[in-house]
Parts: sequence; C-alpha cells; structure tokens
Amino acid sequence: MSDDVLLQAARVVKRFPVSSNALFRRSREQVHAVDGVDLEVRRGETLGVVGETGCGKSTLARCLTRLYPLTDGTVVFDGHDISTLSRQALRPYRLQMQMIFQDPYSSLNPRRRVGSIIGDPFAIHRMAGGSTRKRQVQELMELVGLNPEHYNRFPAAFSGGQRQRIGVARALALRPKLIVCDEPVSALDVSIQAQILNLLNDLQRELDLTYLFIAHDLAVVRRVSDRIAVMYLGKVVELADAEELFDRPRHPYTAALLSAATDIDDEGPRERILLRGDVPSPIDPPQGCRFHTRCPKARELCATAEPPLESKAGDASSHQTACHFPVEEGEQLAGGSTAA
Amino acid sequence: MTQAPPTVEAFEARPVEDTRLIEAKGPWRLAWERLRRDRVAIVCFLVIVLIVLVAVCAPLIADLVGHKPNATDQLGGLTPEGLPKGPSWSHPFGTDSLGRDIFIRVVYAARISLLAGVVASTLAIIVGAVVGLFAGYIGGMTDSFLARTMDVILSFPFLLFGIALVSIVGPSLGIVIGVIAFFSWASVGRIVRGQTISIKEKEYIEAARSLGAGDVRIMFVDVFPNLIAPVLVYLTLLIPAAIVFEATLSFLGLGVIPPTPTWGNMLAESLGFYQVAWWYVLFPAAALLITTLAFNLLGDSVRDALDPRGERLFRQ
Amino acid sequence: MIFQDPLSSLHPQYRVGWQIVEAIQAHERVTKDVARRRTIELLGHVGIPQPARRADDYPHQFSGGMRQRAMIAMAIALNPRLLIADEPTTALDVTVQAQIIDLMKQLQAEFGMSIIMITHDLGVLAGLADEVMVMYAGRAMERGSRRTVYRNAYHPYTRGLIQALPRRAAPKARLTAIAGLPPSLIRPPAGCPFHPRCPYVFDRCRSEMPPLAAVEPGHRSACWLPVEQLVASGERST
Repeated sequence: MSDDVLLQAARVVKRFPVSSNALFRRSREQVHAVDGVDLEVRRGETLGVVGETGCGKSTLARCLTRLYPLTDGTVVFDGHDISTLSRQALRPYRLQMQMIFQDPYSSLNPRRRVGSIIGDPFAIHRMAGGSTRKRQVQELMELVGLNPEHYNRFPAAFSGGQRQRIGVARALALRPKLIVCDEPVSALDVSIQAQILNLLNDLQRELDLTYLFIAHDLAVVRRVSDRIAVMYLGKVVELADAEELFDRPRHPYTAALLSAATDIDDEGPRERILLRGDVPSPIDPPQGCRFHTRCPKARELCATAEPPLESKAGDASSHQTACHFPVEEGEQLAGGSTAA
Repeated sequence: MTQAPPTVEAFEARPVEDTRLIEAKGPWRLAWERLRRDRVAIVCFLVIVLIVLVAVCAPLIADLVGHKPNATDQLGGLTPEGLPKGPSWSHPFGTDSLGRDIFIRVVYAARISLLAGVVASTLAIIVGAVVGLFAGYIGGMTDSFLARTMDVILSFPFLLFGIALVSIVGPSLGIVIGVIAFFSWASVGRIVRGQTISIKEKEYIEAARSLGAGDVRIMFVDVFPNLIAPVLVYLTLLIPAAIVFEATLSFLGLGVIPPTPTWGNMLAESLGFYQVAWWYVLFPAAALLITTLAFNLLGDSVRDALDPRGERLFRQ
Repeated sequence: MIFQDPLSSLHPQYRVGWQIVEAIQAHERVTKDVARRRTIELLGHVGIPQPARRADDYPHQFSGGMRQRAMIAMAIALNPRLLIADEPTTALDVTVQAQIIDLMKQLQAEFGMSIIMITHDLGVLAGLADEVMVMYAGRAMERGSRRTVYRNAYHPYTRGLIQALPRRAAPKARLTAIAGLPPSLIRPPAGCPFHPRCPYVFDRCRSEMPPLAAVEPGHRSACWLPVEQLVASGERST
C-alpha cells in the first residue's frame, strides 16, 4: 500500500439477516447492504460518497470504521489490517478515526452536559482529567465556534447547527487522522449548512484532516470533495475526481442523478432523465448489473453479467466506471416514462 | 429616521461568531419548574410530608394525646354495653373493640405502611433497574433468560403465593417487605428493559461506541441517566401499590400481627363492628385512601413534569 | 393537500385503496364500487403499476415515492382547483423527487389546478414555480415572479438564502452563511424580525416592521432599504 493511502477497503461485504416475523421460522433472507466495495482514501483528501436511500453508504462508513463487523473483505488503516480485530484491539485505532453523525438531535445524549459529552473521548481513553480536560474541552469549543462558557449546558440549549458543532468538537478531541462525516449537514437548514461546511473546510486545512464525506445532496458533495464515489444498491458504480464526475459522468445512474438535481439557476422545468420505477430491495438485488432494471440504456448483457469497476477507454485512470455501455460524450439519455 | 441606511455592499462572509443559546433550560430544571407550578402536586407533596411527620413523631403525639396504641381500656374506652365508643374529645377517632384509641393507632400504623411501602419499593426499583438495564443492553441469551424470568414472576398469583409463604414462615414485617419487593421488581425490570432497548438504538450510543467506550461505561454513563426519569415516576407509583399490598396482607392476617396496628389489620378487626361503630372502619380506611391518593396523584404530576408531550414542540 | 411524510400521513392500518375510497365517499354520493373503480384509475394515472392489486396494499408495503404518488392520487380524487403541497419531496431521494415533480406538473396541466408548493428547497421551486413568496418568522418578506426573486432579490434574507446555496455555476466558491439563528417565535425581535441577522441593519429596522411594498412592478419586498440604493449598488444575486 502506497504511503499516501490512509484507508484501504477491499471487497468489503456487509450483509444483515432479515428478522423473520414468525415465532420459530428462521429466515434465510439477507439484506445485501454493501456487496463488494473497493475503495481507498488518500491522506489529506476529502472523498465524497454519494447515493440515494438503500445504496449502503452509511453501512459502508460504519464498516470502514469497524462499528460493524465485516461479513467479508478487508479494511487496512494506516498500514494496519483492522478487518477482524476485537473491540479491545480496536481501541487504539478509535483514537485515529472518528465519526460525525447526521442527526444533531439524536447524536448527543440529552441528559448529559455538553462539556461532559465533548470530554468523553478524554475520559474513555484516560488521556486527561480534571481541569486539564476542562481546558482542552473549552479550547475545542472555541475551535468549532462555540462559546466555551456554555460548558455546563445541556444540548437542548443549542440550535441544530450548534449541536452539530458539538459533534464536530467531540470527533476532534483526540486529533484523529480520519473523520467520517455521515451526512453531517442533511438535517440542517440551508443557511446553517453553509456555516458547518465552511467550518469543516477550515478545520481540514488547520488540522491536516482526511475526510470521508457521505451525503445524498450532490451540490454539497461537489463543494467539499476532491474525489467522489457514487454508490447504488451496495456497490460503487463510478469513481472519479469531483469535477471530472460532474463534467463527464460515464455511468447512466450518475447521469440521472446529476440531471435530477435541482439548482436555483434553472429556468423553469428542465428535460430530465427520469428513471423507471423505484430502487429495488437490497434483500433481493437484481442479477447482473444492479442498475439494469431502471437503466435507460440496459441491454441483454446487463441482466446477466455484472460490470467491473474499471477505467474506460478515453478516461483518466482515476476515473472508473462499472458499466457495460457507459454514457458517451454528448449522448442524450432518453427520459424514461414516470410509470414503471 | 435619524440614521441613514447603510450603503449596500456585497454580502461578506461573516466570521461564525454567533454563540447565543436558545433560551432552553436543562431537562431537570424544566421538569422542576413544571412540577412547582402544579398545584395538585404541591398539595399532595404537603400531605405526604404531613403523614411522614406524623409517623415520625408518633411517640410524641402519643404523649400529647395521652394514649398508647396498645393500651386497652375496658373501662373508660367502651360503652356500658361493651361496645366501642364514638369520637369524643378524649378519643378524636373513637375507640376500638378493646377500648384502644383509634387515633393514635392510626398514627402508629402510618409508620408501618410508610416503612413497608418505601423500603419494599426502593428494593424493587434497585433490583429491577439493574436487571432491566443488563437485560436490555446485553441482549441475546442473557436477555432471553432474564426477560422470561420476569415474565414468570409477573404471572404468579402473588396473593396466593404470599399467603402460602407466610403460612410456612410466619407473618412479620420483614416477610411482608420481602414479598412485596419480590413481586414488584419484575414490573420495574420490564419497563427499564424496554427503555434500555429503545435507548440502545439511539445515535448517541453509537457515537459513544465509535469513541471506543466499553459496554459498562456506556450502560452507566450514557444509558442510565436516561432511565432516571421513568424510574422515578415508577417509584412514586410503586409506593402506593406497595402500601396497599401491605394493607391487603395485614387485612388477611398475613402481615403484621396484632396488637401492632396497621391500617390493614384495623380494617379487618372493624368488620365485626361496622354496624355499630362506623368510626372504626372510616378512619383507617380514610387514612389508607388519602395516603395512596396523595402518592398516586404526585406520581402523575411527576410523570407529566418529566415527560410532557409538549416537549417536542420546538424541535426544528 | 399533500403532506411531507407520506408514511405518517397515510393511516398505517388501513389499505391504501380504502383510504382513497373513503375520501371520495366523504364528499360525493357514489357507491363503493364506483369509488373503487375511480380509485384504481387514479392510482394508475399517477404512475403506480398494477393499480388494482396495489390498491389493496398497506402503506408500509409501498416505497417512499409510491406512497407520495398515492397521496397525490387521494388529493386529486375530487378534482380540486387548488392543491397545497407541504414539502412533498423533502423526504424523497433526488431521482424520486424528479419523478414526483414531473408528475405534479403533468397533473396540473391536465386538471388545470393551481398549486401552492411549500418547501425549503429553492432548487425545487426553480423548476416548478411561477411565483415565489419568501417567508421568515411568520411574515412574508418578499414576493414576485420566480425569475425576479431569484435573479433580482431585494430582501437581504432572500439574498442570504441564495448565497448560502452551492451553485452549479460556481461549485467551489466559499459559501456565505447567514449569521445567527432563526428567531424565537415566543419572543420575536421588535421591528423587522430579520434585523438581528441582517448585515444592512440600521435603527429603523429595530423598531418598525417594514410593510410588504412594491419595489418594482410585480415585485414586493418588506425592507426599509431604499430601492434606489439597491439598484444603484448594482448588486445582483447572480
């Protein structure tokens, strides 16, 4: 593994058993949340992961930080294989990779004071105690733009944006190398989103952080990411530098996502690529290419053979697509009908 | 307009400086304020304080009134026909079949009831909370085992069991407290287990795990504070239930044995005389009623204070 | 009216078809059969495949997009002249959102409905709205045609909102946030409710609420800043 890769995931698989309803029947069905993902996160970059509901991006994030055990595959963090480590063995790695959660209202314990919440990492890893800890917590609060005098307040006293800052402070406490941001601004008002995105950006520069940024909002992902991975139904379907992805999407799903995105510069309704139907269930994903049931370009091959993630002719080696018939330059995909 | 409007320049990126807080108080403070404003709660609380004071000061009151609880008085305490005397200056609540002063007996009985009620409930809460917390958090086989145990206990006919136990071992206050605690902890455990299971799924628990916190730490630092509120409510409702349970056992002759007065055994004794001595039934019954009512209403108010539906109104 | 979260605005314990039939029968004297036939037709019309079968499903058996379509079917069942859509696409994925907006436009043309669309997503309105009204703290702050308000906003709040959004045209530009917090509705600020956060605040703003007044034909704004100054500065939210 080259020196500039901080996190490398290979063939990561995560399946969940579906709980059956009948008292004694054991269900064989499984949710294929993440089904074979290869990914690498380079030092100092922001890798965006984008996709819609059910694509597995949140599950992937939790697999990479080993909040979930892996069903299969490997995760190597900073040269160390953490794929099968026990919780005890993982503890030192927890210092180096942290997570920021989506919902500012449920990611903070409502019955604990903010100072105690931010100071948790110090307490858990027995790093600093008493007044040293308090001082460090207050420094962190200032760093993220909170008033350190509010150390003893409860989360209820803070707004959504401020609570998210508390979450950021908590994640930063032990100076991790990697921060996984799981939809950190999705639950915030638009005007507050900008504040938090600016903050994350500033912190990345100041503290030399690496981000794995998960979101469903393309505009947000574009703004923060260096590279972007697009996920669909448990697989990465396209991976490219941010601008490259937006300028020349090769995968039909990416093209549809981009075309569906709204922008205030639009002059009235646009011609959009409308996909057919809804996302299939991850319990029983389609055979072959998972996207073929909704793809405007699907052909016979797509229903039988799964396309590998590789760079196509004419693309930079950093631009990889998993598609048998990628979108060509200037090609207009047919707008599908709204009925499935 | 004394000030000219500013010239409009491009919107500059303002440094993020706004650190004002929403005017929200902490959850405990809010609950306390709600409780303070609840008149029913205040009245009930005062009534309970009064009852406790009376119970604690029972010997003093005995001296004041001049009667002892077990002092039978065949001559002065009964009518010429040998029946209990009605309320009078010397006996505010009248006398019972043995000429004893009912007032002072009611006062002394309060001690037993409160003791049984509070001690048994506290015991039940402690055991139930710990078991429920572990069962809910650990899950798996441990949870299955503990949950089934609680279900079994809850399906016991506790009165029959209590009767059987007391018949074997013999009645006493300790047995009564033990029996009450034994049958109550399971319902606490069930509730705590349910709460724990729902808390376990919250994002802040996941956050604690991602920080590297161990299970025990999460249970006691993160889950437990969220259990205090429901447990507190349940305690205030468990106490009156325990008091009634004790009264029931004593009424059946299985609790505290005479001559020690409890409201339960006083009621039992009064059965034979209710046609001629209404005071014999009324005062112990009223004492029992007022005490349980006070605790129940206070419990309702505590629950409303800790968990009003309106709390969700200002979530964005 | 259609609501934001179709999972909680459809009754989870009644079949979808039944709910629509109930809506129809509440207003029109038709038999259950007729109502049911119309329900199935409506469900097909809004793009639900196999409508006769799906009408007997429960809401949790539908996906998010389909539930929203079912809600729309219920809303148009009685041929309303006005459809009020309260954040109909907020809970949906972006590709499904595109489908639903497309559906709404289609139905609007067919039924000749007026639509009031409530949303926080300015982008969604860009593709759909003819007129836009911006609200803050329970008051209307700006009103005009969509083009005018987006390209030529006068109210500082509207400008702030627009400048806080990442734009396709300038994806990496530093976003300008609106400082401060949304106002308390229990103790709203005196005068103009936006004044604590407004970069152009001056003393009149703190005491008097500006009326929603015309700044140009067909465009109204509630702000004390004189129009000439805004025009002269040449600032446009590009």
